[in-house]
Amino acid sequence: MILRRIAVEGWQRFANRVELGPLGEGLNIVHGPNGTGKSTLFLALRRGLCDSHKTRGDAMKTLCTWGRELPPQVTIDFEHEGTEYRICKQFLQGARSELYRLEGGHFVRFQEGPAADDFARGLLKAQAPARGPSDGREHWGLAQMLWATQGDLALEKLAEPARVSLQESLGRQMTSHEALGLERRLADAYGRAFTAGGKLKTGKDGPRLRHDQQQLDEWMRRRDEYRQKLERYEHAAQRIQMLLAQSQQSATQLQEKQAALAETRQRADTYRAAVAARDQRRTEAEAAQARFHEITSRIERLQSARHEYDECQKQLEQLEQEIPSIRTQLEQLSAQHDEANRQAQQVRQGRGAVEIAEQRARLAMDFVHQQRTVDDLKSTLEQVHRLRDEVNRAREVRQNLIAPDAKELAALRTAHARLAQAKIRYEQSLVTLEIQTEAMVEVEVQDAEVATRRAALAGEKLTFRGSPEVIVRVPEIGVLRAYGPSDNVENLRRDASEAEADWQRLVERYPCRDLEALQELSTQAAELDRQIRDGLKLGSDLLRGRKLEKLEAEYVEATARIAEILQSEPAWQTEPPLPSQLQAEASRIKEQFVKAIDAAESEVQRRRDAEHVVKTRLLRHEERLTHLRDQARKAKQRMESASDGLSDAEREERRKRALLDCGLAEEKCREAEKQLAAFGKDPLPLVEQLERETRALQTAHDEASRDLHTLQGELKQILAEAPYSHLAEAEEQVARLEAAIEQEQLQLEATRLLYETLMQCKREVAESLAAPVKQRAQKTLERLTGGRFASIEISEHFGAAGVIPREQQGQSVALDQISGGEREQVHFAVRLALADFVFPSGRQLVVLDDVFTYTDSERFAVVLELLQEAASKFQVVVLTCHPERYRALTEAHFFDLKALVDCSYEAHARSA
Amino acid sequence: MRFLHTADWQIGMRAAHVGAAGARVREERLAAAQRVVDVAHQHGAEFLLVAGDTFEDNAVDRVLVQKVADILAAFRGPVYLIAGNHDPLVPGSVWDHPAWKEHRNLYLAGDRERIGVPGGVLFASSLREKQSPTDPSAWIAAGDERTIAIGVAHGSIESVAGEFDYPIARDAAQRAGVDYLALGHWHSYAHFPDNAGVVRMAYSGTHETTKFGETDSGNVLLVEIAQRGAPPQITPIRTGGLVWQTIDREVRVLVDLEQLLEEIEGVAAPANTLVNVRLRGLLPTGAEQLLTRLEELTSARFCYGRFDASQLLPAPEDDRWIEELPPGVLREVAARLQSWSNPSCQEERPEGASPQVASRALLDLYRLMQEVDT
Repeated sequence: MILRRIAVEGWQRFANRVELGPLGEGLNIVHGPNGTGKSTLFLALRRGLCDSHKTRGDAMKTLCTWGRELPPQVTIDFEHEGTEYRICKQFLQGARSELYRLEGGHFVRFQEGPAADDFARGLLKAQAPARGPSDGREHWGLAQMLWATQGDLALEKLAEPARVSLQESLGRQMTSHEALGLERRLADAYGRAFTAGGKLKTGKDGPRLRHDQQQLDEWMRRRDEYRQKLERYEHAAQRIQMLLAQSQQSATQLQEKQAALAETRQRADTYRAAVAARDQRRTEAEAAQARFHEITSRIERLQSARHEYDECQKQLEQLEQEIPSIRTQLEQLSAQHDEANRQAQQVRQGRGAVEIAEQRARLAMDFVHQQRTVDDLKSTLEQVHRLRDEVNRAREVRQNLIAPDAKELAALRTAHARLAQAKIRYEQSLVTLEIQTEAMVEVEVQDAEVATRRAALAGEKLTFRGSPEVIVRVPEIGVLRAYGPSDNVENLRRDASEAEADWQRLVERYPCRDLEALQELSTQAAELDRQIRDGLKLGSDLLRGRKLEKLEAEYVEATARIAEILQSEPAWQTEPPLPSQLQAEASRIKEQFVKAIDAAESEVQRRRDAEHVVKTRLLRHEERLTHLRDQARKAKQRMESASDGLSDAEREERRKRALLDCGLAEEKCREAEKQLAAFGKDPLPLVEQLERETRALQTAHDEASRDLHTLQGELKQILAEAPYSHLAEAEEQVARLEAAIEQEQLQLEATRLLYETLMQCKREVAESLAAPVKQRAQKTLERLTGGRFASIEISEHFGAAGVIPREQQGQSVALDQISGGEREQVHFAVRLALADFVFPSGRQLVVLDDVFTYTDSERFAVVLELLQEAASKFQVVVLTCHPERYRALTEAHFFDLKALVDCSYEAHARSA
Repeated sequence: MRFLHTADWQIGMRAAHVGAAGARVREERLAAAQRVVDVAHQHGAEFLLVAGDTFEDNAVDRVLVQKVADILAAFRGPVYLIAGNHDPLVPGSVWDHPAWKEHRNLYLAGDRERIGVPGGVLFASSLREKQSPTDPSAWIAAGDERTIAIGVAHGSIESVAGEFDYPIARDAAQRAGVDYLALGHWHSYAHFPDNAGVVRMAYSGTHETTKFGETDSGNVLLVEIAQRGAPPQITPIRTGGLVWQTIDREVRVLVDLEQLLEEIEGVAAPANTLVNVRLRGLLPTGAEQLLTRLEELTSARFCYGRFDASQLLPAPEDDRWIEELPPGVLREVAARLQSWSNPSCQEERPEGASPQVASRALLDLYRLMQEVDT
């Protein structure tokens, strides 16, 4: 397809109609300054060919001329495979699409509306987006490799269907054209059953297999359901059969058991009658025995009561005679007892004297004890106070005595010895000049330790010391100079000074500087410390761990106690008591009292015992008397109750008769027992056992009948559903569906295998054919870059994926790592190669909108060459704001868009 | 004595092997039952003897039980039945249905019964289990009978000892002392002569064929016995309504398929015919349309049609059409499919590319090629 002419109106900046064309079949350079509307024209071309006229939305509204309400319109004249077409589209308000074909020199409308849209898209194999305009390159169909928007030559991925078309184009070189029809049919067949991802379609558009599978699942479910029912039926029938057999058997057993029970019950009745007869005889015998015992007992009771009554009467008479004399004796003994008590009371009154004597003896002991305590404490306290005074005095002296201790004394001795040695060494190092004067002389010391003028009388000796020399001038005599070794006198002097300083530092706190005196002071201090320690220890020994204050308190307390005792016994002030003597007196008084009281109480006890004996005897007699009277009364009552109005003889006669009746009844009883023993074992337990067994059998029989009834009901219920018939139908349906599914699956698998094998073969062929594309693009790039790149990487989507620079030794470099200009050139080379293969014949429209913005002039010259070559196969439309760059293309048609627009405005103004 | 011996009606039988035609097969079995009664009337049978397996299962629809009872009740003479191993006399069986008591001419034998029948006595015993190792005819002792004595039993002649299939001795009639022993269980007609060459025991077979490959079925036996000891006159009479036709063909050339097409088109009563076509061999060139026609015909025209051409492989030596393909993708596809369709192919196969699938895919490719050409 090539473009002849394009006209727009009401389209963004083109409010008035602007027409571009007629365009040449080769190179066309459309130029104009920025903002003239070059890209707008390109957009109008895309909208006109790829978009539905019904497309709406914000993106479409932006097509309207700014500030105007006119709907955007575009008219495109183009040629395709030798036929001239014109398509007119109006968007938004009054949207329309009309397609015309040139027939007999006139454009005749032959499509309109969506059909016109589809026709135009079909030429490009473009697919409209689901919604909105086709801005994405993937919606431009084959044109995606031919058209490049402003500054965007990149083509990383060739989208469907262009990629398919490319593969088809590549494949077409090795397959016949007719085969494409087969492929389409196969693709249709595959597409009816499978999704693009190769999965089986679902839903109403899916293959029949799905529906059959669902039906099969349902029928299999039913089949399983009826199989289970059939199994339940079989099970129930078997169980019923078993229960019927069991029921029959249990009925027979029940009959046998019931017969045995009836017979045993009859025997039991007979046995019970014999037992009743025996019991009757036994009762009669017992009654006879009872009567005999009753009369015998009555006789015995009468005789016993009568005898007892008589005995009671005799004893009563005897007791009534003895009781008065006993009472008299008791009165005498009571009087004697009272007298003994009175005398004992008198003796007890002597207890007070005993207590007084004992108390005085204890007081005397306490008095003596307190006196001793006071003496001891007084002595101890006096010693303690004396020791404390001595210690305090020693402490006081010790505090005032500043003396070195043993350690300090040792340090002093060391320092003193060091000082002495230092002085000696220093003295020894000095030069000594000694002058024995013979006349009075005055010596001027010029150099010595003591540099003063000295005078001496005759005969005196002047000594001068110094180091390293001693120089003195003796007037009129001369200067005397003595010298000696001068090695270390300064060091020795310093040592001596330091030793002296140390010594002074050590002794400065003591009252004296003399070592001997200090020794004496140290000895005195040690003696004082010993005295203090000894005093404290002695005091501690005297106190024996007690507090002094406590001892003093005890002393005060003991003194107070003595004073208290002396208040009650003032005589003891002068003559202290003898506790042992007082104790002995108290013991004697107490002994006398104890003897007297013992004798009195012994007498009282003896009298009391005698009285008690007689009193007890009297009480026993009186109790006995009461008891006998009561016993006699009861015996009399028994006689009265036992009396039956008969005489003893009559009673004896009756007893003999009862004895005879008893013997007779016992004989009858033995006879009945004998008859019962002859009958044998009691059949009643057997009856009970048989009854239990019968009941158990009956229960089992009833339960079996109940189960049977239930199962029969269940069986009827199952049979009412005719499970076998339904199962038969279900199995037939399952078999039918399985067979159908098997066939369908086979067909689907075959379709899939055929399709996928075809696709695989095509891919393999296409992949093998991608190499020529790569080679062709590489050649173009070599021309553009002067052989800088060894190879181009083509992706599986036929886009440029990278390049291999020659210096990289085979390592690929991503496109974003090379320069922008080279990137443009790589994409341009790939586009040209793809276009060559996709469109081996027939001119196609190439549109390049300001795409070589980064390419340098040297390489741009090659670009122009390539464009010129491409123009032999393609119609190339270049939109640019730099027309001068393309002036070398002598065969190109140049269109000044700005001039076209201006003309349009002028024409519009004229017409207005 | 003249009676009709039939058995194995298998009413309510499932026919999963014929899929959706199962209902028709079941209906036809009832229709055949009606034909049995008609045959009995036509030949003046004094009574009907049904030797077991009247029903396929005891759990069949009770409506069928009523229908069968009604059909049998329409016979003007008595009908004697025994329960077979498919419909044993157990609680809840088809024999509990009240229909059997409604009709006075229907008599179901219980255990080991000696029944007086027109012209003689019948020894009959129903089965009470689905399987048993017991000979169901062993109890019959008719040696002392003065009138014509016949027996009826349901079991398998010469079954392997120890199998639980009601084994019946080959000389059961002779041992039992009966003039004729009517047997049921086998679906095909079969008779067993005694040592003297006289046939005294026979299987009538089912009255209506049950499946493909079942020979000599779809009959009843008209049995006539002149007197005690006389050899029975046994006459098979056709009652089956459906034709079960198996066509198993090896195809070598196109003519084989053309002849088969003629044969199938020439079937007289396709609506009553069930066809099972199995083809094997090699698929001749240009046979695809013929195959499609055969498949359509088989599926559409007959009561039931099964068409299996899966064993028909494209002739390996006849790959001209592949060679005629333009070089390129399609030829490569065809070559690969042809290779995979060979079961002994050693090449690695794509997933799902079994020989059967590959063969079908190759056929599809061929068919598509033909369509594109036209």
